[in-house]
Amino acid sequence: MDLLSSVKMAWQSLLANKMRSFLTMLGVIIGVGAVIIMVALSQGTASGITDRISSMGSNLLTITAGGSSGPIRGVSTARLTNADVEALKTLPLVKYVAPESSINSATIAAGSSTWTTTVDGTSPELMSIKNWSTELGEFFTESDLSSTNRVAVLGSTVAANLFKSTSDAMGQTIKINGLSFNVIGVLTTKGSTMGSDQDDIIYIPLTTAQQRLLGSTTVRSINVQATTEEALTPLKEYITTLLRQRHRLASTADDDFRIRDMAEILSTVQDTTKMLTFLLGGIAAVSLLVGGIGIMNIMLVSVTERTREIGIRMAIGATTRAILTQFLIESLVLCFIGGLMGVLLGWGAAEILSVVASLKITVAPWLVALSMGFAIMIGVFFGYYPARKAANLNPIDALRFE
Amino acid sequence: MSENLITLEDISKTYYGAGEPVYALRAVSLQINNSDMLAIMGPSGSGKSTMMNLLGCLDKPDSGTYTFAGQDVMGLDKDQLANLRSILIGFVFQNFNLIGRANALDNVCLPLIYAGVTSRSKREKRGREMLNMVGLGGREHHFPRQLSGGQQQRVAIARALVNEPALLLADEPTGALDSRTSEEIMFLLCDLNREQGLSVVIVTHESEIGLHCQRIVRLNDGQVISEESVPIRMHQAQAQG
Repeated sequence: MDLLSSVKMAWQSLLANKMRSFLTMLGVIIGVGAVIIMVALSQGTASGITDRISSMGSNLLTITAGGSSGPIRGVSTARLTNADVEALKTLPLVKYVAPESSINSATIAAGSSTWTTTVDGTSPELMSIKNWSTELGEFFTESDLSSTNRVAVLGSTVAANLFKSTSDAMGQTIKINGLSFNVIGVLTTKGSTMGSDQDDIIYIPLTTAQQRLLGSTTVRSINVQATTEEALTPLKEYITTLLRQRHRLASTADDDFRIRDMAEILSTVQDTTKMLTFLLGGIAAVSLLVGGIGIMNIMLVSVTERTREIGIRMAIGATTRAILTQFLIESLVLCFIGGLMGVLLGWGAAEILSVVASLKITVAPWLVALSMGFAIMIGVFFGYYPARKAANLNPIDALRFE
Repeated sequence: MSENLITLEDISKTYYGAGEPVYALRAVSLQINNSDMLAIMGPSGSGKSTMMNLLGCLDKPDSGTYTFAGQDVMGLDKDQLANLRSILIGFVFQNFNLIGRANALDNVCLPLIYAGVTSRSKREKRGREMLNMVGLGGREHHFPRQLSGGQQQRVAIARALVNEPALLLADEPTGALDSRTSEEIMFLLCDLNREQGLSVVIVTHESEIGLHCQRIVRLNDGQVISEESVPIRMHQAQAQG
């Protein structure tokens, strides 16, 4: 018995019960669709984050106050100060140093519109380190820093929310927690990562932030860019030595600061997103499994219903293998078509999500192959038992079945 | 091909169910030659159905010797029996047993698929020939529910003969048909027997049907109680007027 006739036969019997076939397939459609959308979503998120991190450059170090063992921020007495920043600038192998200190939810007012966002005090080097550019105007300069000028550079989201159009923002005065600032630039849109909008932020000179808004000379974190990637390891040691000295730590004391490089952050993020992918994919795979059980259920019903037909087929010469093949192919066709529709569903959902949630979601070919393969495996696995049952029927009993 | 198609010697078949064992056939011997047309008759419970299952190689006897076209049936397994049915036996049933969602042509072609004819065009050509032969040319794409009982039985006969079997086995072939249609079907079977030398075995309880055959074998209580020749067969009687 040839394969083509078997497939045609299977197709006919599935067409004979269109609604039932479709409902049976639905389990597989949803299962495969879910696997695709879940995995694509977490992959898309992961690649978005890693792209952003690697675009910042792999030779970047971030120093934060507080030792690696003390995550409770409020308790830590350790501080990084402007003096630390100046000292770091004198180290060899350093290309740029950009301190940051932020006010997390500042109230911004421009005319009658208000907005709440993060205000980040920093230095012009941040632009070079992060490779950012301005859409309008300029970032503030070293002289703005030294004269504590009240100038602000807006992220595009802030600009869009405060002003009718981004271009209106230029030269306007905004109030940050009641203090007037002059808008001198708007940053190019950077997009969002993991649902957090990278453009919902205002940059002002660090000195201005410290003196006018924070009232302290500490900095929250310091970005240090090394001259090359190879310089990272020695530079980390220089920084450790320098900061321990400056903070007057006893040789037995733990560091009261933490240095992280981008590679480290990247691998942490990748580990997390890999876990996320496995978790979501796993949950979706369970639904595919449930779909498979649905297929087995319906195939068993179908074998019972068609007992007489099986008897006829056996009487006119169908061997055990021919019957087995026929029912196995029926279940395979169900899973294959269900899988294809599931791929389309998942793909469509991914496309819609990538537009709606402005995430970069791509359905990788290997993902399509994997979920189709899984669906076909389900078809064979859950189709075998009913097919076996059909093939093992006794032709006499089957013929007599009413 | 030898003169002798089927030889049954001392065949017994017993069914062990929940209650007492049922001795369906007890030491039955029977010989069927090529071009025979034979009726197996008897009341219900006489072993007719068991006989039909054994002759159709759907089941094997418990004891005795059974030779079908020179092959020892006793030594065959399930799939070998299926292959033997595929090549040597055509079945016609009381309730036609066509596959409802397949059209007449597909029903007729089905045994060709199981017999391993892979070329679709070859199968359909042969299927059309068979439908023409039973007088249903032009109804290839009708589904069983669109055909009358007599037409359905003709499709079943075409399906039974598509692999050119040595034996046509008919189980109450006219049981679901009115008397006129019954007669038409019987004449068709007689023609096939006379013109193509096809062996035909009809299992029936209608005595009228027996009169179309050359021989009538009567069963009762699992044994052959009589075997008689029909002196003047129905078609001969009609021809003589």
